[in-house]
Amino acid sequence: MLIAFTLNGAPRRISAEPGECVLDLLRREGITSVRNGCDGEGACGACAILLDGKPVNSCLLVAAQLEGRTVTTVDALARARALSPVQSALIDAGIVQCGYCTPAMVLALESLLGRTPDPSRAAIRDALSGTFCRCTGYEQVYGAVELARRRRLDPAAAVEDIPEFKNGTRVIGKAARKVDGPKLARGEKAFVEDMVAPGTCVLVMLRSPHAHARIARIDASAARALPGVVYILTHENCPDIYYNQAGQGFPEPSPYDRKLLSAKVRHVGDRVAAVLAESREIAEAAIRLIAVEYEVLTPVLTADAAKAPGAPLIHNSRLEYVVGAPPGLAADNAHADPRDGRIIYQFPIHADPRRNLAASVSGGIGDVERGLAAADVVLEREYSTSQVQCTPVEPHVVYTRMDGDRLIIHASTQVPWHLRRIVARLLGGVSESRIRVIKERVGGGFGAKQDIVLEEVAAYLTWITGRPVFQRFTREEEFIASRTRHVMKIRVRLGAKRDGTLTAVHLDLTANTGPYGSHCLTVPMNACSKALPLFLCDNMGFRVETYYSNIPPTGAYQGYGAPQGSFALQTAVAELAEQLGMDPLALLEKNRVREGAMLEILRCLGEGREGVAQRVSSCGLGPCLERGAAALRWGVREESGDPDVAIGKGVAIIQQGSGLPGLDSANAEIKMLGDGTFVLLAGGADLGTGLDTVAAKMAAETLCTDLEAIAVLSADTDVTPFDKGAYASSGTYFSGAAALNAATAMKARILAVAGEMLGEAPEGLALVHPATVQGKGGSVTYAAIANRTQGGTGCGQLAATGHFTTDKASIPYGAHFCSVAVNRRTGEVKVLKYHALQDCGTPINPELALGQIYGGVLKTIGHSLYEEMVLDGKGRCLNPTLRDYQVPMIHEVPEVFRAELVATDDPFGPFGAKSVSEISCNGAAPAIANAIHDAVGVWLREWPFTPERILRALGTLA
Amino acid sequence: MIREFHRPVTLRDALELKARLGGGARYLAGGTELNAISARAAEFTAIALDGLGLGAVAEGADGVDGLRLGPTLTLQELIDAPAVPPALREAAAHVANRNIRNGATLGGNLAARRACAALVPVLLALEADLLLCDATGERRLPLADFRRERPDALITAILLPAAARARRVGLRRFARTANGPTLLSVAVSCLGAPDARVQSPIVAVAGVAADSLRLTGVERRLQGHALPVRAVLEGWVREAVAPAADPFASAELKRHLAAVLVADCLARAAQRED
Repeated sequence: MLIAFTLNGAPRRISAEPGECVLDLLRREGITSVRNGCDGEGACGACAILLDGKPVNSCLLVAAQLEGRTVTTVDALARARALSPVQSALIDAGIVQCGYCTPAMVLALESLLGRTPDPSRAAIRDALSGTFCRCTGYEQVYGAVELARRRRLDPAAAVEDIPEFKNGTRVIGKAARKVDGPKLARGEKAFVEDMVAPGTCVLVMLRSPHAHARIARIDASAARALPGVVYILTHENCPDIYYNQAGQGFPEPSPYDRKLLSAKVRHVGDRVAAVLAESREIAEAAIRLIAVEYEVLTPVLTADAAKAPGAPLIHNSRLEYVVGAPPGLAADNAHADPRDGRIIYQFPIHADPRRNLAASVSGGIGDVERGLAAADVVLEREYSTSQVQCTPVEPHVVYTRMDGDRLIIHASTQVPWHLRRIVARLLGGVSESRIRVIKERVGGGFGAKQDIVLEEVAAYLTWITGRPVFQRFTREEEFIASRTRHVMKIRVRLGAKRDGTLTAVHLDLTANTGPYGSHCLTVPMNACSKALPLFLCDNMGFRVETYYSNIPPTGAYQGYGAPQGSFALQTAVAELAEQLGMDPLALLEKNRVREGAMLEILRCLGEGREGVAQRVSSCGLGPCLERGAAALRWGVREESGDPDVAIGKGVAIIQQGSGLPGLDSANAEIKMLGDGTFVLLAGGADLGTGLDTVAAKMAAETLCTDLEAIAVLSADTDVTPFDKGAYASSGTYFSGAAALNAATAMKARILAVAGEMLGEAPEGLALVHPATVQGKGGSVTYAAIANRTQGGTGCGQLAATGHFTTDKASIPYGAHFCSVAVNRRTGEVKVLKYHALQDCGTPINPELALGQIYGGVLKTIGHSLYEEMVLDGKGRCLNPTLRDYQVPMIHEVPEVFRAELVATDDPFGPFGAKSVSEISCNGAAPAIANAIHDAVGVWLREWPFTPERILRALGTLA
Repeated sequence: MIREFHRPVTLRDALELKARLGGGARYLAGGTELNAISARAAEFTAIALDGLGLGAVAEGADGVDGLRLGPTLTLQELIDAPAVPPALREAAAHVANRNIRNGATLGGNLAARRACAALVPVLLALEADLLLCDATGERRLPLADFRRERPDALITAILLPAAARARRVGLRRFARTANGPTLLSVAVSCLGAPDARVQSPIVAVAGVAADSLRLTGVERRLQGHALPVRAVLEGWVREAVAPAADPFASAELKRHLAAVLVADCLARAAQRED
């Protein structure tokens, strides 16, 4: 039927099926600013439009409903590329991170300001009640609305209240417009799905309904015969190449324990057949024609079940080692079941698949048992964490195509170079020169996009068919076939003297990695390496065991094990304080790490190799604790006014790392353009965190030029130099430092040329803003230098590279404080106040650093109180939707939510910077558990702290 | 999935279409239920209601004693309408997502098969009746009967008797997140002055059975008596409900919360000065 409606001010007549989803219709018409994060559940709001001026979800409308209506999208707002007050305010307040939901936010706030020019906080909350943002934690939106309100009256109104850091700098430590902000706020084409050419084939995966089964027979002949089906890949015709999907540096500590498709399925949602067809409808029809007979095996769903004697084996595979094969391997392999395939270890990770052990490690300093014996008080507690999912609003998505004989992968990935390496392996060892990975804007990664969970199949199918391929996970696939936090059980043993001095700390950690060993060693290790060094104690130890099971896959998730370790150890320390009759804050203060301390425990906590003891180069924990305690009025009991509701306060100290010293490497390149401006080619993958802006600032500051004079191209394996990827909190520290080093090298080249032009020695020259070299006898502009070098008699275009590696660990620290209201009768917990104080060295982008903190905290308030993947006894996820999984949105933001940057000047980080993002995830669970105890006197030792668990702890429920 | 779409402009045309197309046709208001992913597997013909002018709020209209609410009023329009009783506006706001409230309608909320439909308990507590139309004519049906019988008829109005305006109402929705699934929803109403004897109580609970239900046994125990102490009332409610466990909440939790929330709602109703 023909639908007549007004789209962005212009009358349109569009042919559509009456039941066509309006989201699909608009994207078909080129409106890519409407986006899909929930498959039509109506839960994410990324597809929002204004329908007759009111925000609604276009995924819940059908085409016929548009007849005679007026539709407005964000595309209507930017006039001749000029941003609307709301758009510019959102960017300048730091609320634009990945940008996937930004157009929806813009529309909601335009509508709000249209009906309420000076809205209250409650009205703003209501306006954004339908917009799911996983990045920002929402808090800065209140300032953005105030700024937009002022800019509606005065377009020149400046952003206020963003703190500044680092004396003597122009852009480092100062607010500046995020370099990709305008593009994202305008809703322009930016994401993988926006790049897909017409005629691209669609890849849909047939997934296992069983958690553990062998494929006894698979017959895809009828499906292959279906017109429009291009290719069907099953375990029978897939290459016999083993790999791991973890995007880690090579050689990886994760075992190569899978093929593209296997004859054994190991989780509900595991791959059974990959169907490539000319349309989604054909692919789905083909899937219905594939006949599969399963030999169903008993599923193993917990680590306890996995390690029980006689447990079904998930990988009774033949084991191979690239280096370090243990003695007795041949005899061990005699027990392997050939049907289970192989596992290849790059080096030993102390696995024993014959008892489902995926990896293990133990170590320590001093003598824990002696420390416990010397203690006046010994505490032993066990803490459990459930399976939670990263839920980026943009699910996993990939678009692959051939360009001549080269494979092009448009990816939403954190690890372009690891992706290229893994795909090259799976294509049978083709050279990496045949593959190009272009990281598009990423609509949220959070660790899930550190792993290669769909790109490699699409790439393989493009390679063998020559056809362009598009695949996009459904929200359910995001839950069951992407990445989640490792489920952990952590037994903590603490010993202390009566005065609170810790005499021993030990963590005994059992992790459940699920069906494959992605990050199976390093995530659980990180639970220890980011928890133990927060305390100064001579006797520390840990034991980690990670087990295979048949739950949905786990892997990297922002924090990378540290949230679990922090929950366990910080809560145990608070419990110890109760035993000692001490204020938990005083106990933390007594034992916490300090600047200059030597962290010997890190010697035992290398990532698959021997670690290195590190001296704490900077530590802002002292002021974090001091300011946080003052802000929350620590020690002052507060009353709710409701006899059913008790208020309590909690605190936790936290740390993370700044990349992986000795393992990671980053590179950048900078070129001077003809007018003396620059293009910076940065390897680092910006996930929306502002890394491109960090890189641009490094160059602009070093080269004494304006931020606008630096164009950044990043994370394209053809165009930009190698970078390890965006993980391990390495962005600013490694990739930023590479940009700084490239700019510093450029500075030297500029000075050399200027010296020739001015007839002075380069050592006596100085760069001065803007873009000028000042000598004793005169000056020369960069434009003149460019003209000189790029002319027929010049030395050629100035270009420089920068590389960064280090053996130094610059550790970010923080203290999180919160107060909660606990309803004793209903078990409800409301976070009233949350103060997150963090030392990230010099904050390079202060507004974006604050946004990283808010976002990390809200995610983990979610893990602490609401989120949980619920599996049934057969390993099926019962709540694989955003609504049923219960992601926190703006209504869950604490009433008082304050992030504060406590600057230190780290001697090793670029301009004194350390990391800021992942650490933000480590405080919520222990601080909230601590506060709940303070309120109602019970300890919650399993997250999430649901009403049911609280009522059981209180004894209200049996 | 909608295969055909009709937008009648008269009620008569809509009813005739429905009579002609039978079970293969469904009335479509905002579409937040029928267009959602969970409903797309079903193929049907849509009869859109937005051309029928059924979105008005009228007092004493058509000889009705009380308030007449159009079924295509969106939840946001209900909230924004001063004439709508505060309790009903509060219940509409329990749908925390404004984008949804701009699409979802009063009639759609009542017709959808959700065990915890946002507006059902409060409308039970306000003694709402529905006007229903089909090819055989118009009839008036109490909301509880409508939910039980599920007639294949069009809701043309929601009627709130004038007496309902005198009811004091206490409401409570229990969910872990604002936009998450509702575990329990309770509405309690009564007549009479605050702190006096409870008159004509209505106790409606969603989340303890397949649909919202009135706890008539509890209502009888309350009728004409002073407000009982909380523990006693909670005990009555525990006896009156038999929820089933599900993977997200035990039966014990639901029973406990039903008791607590009813007690809270009655206390709120007794104190309310709407």
